[in-house]
Amino acid sequence: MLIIFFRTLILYFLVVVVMRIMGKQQIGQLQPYELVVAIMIADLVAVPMQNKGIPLLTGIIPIFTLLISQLFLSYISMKSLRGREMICGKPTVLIDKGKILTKELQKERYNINDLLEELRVMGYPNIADVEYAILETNGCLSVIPKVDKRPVTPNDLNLTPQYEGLPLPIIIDGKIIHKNMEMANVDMKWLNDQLKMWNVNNIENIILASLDPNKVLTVYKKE
Amino acid sequence: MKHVVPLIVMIIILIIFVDIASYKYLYTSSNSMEEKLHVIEKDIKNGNWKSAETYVNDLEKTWDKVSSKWAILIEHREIDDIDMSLSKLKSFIDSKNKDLSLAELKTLKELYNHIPSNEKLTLENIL
Repeated sequence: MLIIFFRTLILYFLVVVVMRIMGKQQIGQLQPYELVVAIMIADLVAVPMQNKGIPLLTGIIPIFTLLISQLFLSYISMKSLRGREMICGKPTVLIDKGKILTKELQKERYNINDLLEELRVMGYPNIADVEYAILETNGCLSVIPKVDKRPVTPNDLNLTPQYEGLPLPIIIDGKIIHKNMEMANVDMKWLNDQLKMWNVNNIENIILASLDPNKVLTVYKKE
Repeated sequence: MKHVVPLIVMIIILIIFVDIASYKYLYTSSNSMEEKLHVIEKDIKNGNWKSAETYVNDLEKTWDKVSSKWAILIEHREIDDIDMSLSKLKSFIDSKNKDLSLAELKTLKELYNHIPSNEKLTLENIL
């Protein structure tokens, strides 16, 4: 029992480390070659995890092999445009200037219902509103609506909104993040004054204190 | 969040407890089987076939009881191996063949012996 316990622990942490090395892409949006790696790793690990007759190395070696090949392919797709096209494929335009390209749909084995469904998911229930629809290499559909159907931007209304920088969390779970304080150019004295204004005696009682670019601190206290 | 750490600790303790208990059970029961085999070995060496036969039958009875519990803890293939070896030993003793029954007896001993050592928590077993 404990043998399997430790085997599982070893393999689990190994897979976590490997997935971290493979990068952030791995989790969210998978390219075809990344999807293959994710599926294969899951399968490879499961067998030596519960079969004590198989040495652990027969599970570990293929994982590292997959890691190397995945890193190699992503290196190629970083460096070479042609390689990128071959490994990841090219995005396909499905709707071009409001016209559905049936040939491309057939090539991608994407039927009209799939297209309509994806458009609805993206918030365009009416296909007539769509100027462009592009099937990306990771399988997502990008939609660009017709000019008169897109949401209004401040620019359309001739407005010039104030500059919005990046809000920075200064305190998370009662711990001060000094790096962010340096970035926001504030010091401890300023922070203490602000906290006094918010009636906070103990920093431990703060879940989140967020600083917006106009140096306004918003404090969220624990219940 | 409050329950996470106690839950982890509880599950780990449970696993450790079950592991120790199952190892102890496997160890003692396989030891008692080996002792019985030892007696049979002596009988065969002395040509005491009648007594060997009764002891083998006795061994088979206890093994039947033990094997149903072992099935929870170890691979069923290993139990099948022991079943096979035991029935071989029985027929060799029935036919009063000294060489073959002694050889089969050693095999059976080895089979019993390696089960607890296979379940023991060693680096060799983990890797």
